[in-house]
Amino acid sequence: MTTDNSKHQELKLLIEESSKQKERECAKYLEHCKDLLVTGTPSEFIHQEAEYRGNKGDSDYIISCKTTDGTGDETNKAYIWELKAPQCYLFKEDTKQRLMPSDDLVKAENQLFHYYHEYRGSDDFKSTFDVHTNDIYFGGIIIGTKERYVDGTYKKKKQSTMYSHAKMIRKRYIYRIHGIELLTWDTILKQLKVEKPEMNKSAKMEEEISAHSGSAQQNTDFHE
Amino acid sequence: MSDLTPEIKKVVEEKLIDTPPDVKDLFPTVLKQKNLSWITFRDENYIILSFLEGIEKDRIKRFTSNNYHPFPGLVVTEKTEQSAFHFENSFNIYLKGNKVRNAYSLSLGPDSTITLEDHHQTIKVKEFGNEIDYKISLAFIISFGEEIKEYNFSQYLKEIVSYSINQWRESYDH
Repeated sequence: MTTDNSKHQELKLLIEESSKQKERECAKYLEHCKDLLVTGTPSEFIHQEAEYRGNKGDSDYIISCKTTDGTGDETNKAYIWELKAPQCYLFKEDTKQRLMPSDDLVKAENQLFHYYHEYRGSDDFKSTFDVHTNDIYFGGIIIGTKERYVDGTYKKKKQSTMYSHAKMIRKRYIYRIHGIELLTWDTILKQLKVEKPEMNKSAKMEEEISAHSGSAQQNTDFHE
Repeated sequence: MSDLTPEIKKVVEEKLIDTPPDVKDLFPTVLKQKNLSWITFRDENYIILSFLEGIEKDRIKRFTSNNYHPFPGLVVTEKTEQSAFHFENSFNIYLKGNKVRNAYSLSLGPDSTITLEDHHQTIKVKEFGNEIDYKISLAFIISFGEEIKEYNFSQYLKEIVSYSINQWRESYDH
């Protein structure tokens, strides 16, 4: 297991850079959290490419992998991701009671749909990533950080509630249907973290504990 | 409390069960069993998803049928010096091969995601009049807070599972 935390530190600096849009530099770190960017757990990652050139523009990040279904049949799948800088916001003020997606998020969605549509008909794409038409999937959008969920003037608690609601609406009626993920760069950063917490070896209790949980509400489920 | 079982099941199946044999070789032994068993325990503060091997399965069935916590002493939600580890607002923590005796394993604050692998707990329990010890082969523990809510819980489960898979892949590569 690696103990090198340098990648985490590098991406953290890019995220904290306030003045520049750094999505291209940030894209380099996606190769260290590939399992998060695909559905299921593939046996092998085949190919990944940043800035893949299409007719409608450059797609930010594409990753393909080999998966195996329950019968042992192998299928290659490709996932298309659109990236916006950590410095972008996800949502902005629409009314006092409603948020709307930021211009950057709308642009990312639009790019994602266009690239997906184009690549399904592109022999070059299918050859490069070694996939068939029906094995091309939306990956999602990586944009902003939790500090930039909302560009607005609301009070903190209200803003947090409005963000949760706006994200839920977008996920429920657009993203989930198409398997689109919406991630922030914090999520990628957390995947790069290498931390070895130290055990408090002086921790000691003389008294006995109760086997009961002490919680008023609890639930246990077995799956066999 | 909402029933999060379908979301947990989806992540477990997608990420840990429906996986190619050569990837399963990288996983902890408990995940290589043909008929995988797991338990979810939740209260208002946290969820434990633990994968079970034979002897542990019997113990947990015995405990839960008596309304005992399936893992006594594993988690305390107050911050205390009587715990081996304290976490709050800590994401993708990976703890492997620890042995905790006569202390809580985790003092768990809000918004944390933890993987426990090959974890041993020994603790004195009032109801049994003596020490018990048990092993957790593999568990994912997620605490709720300002950031982790029921509605987005499955995203955090997916993140900690993906993080762990990446750790297992890297261990194999090295």
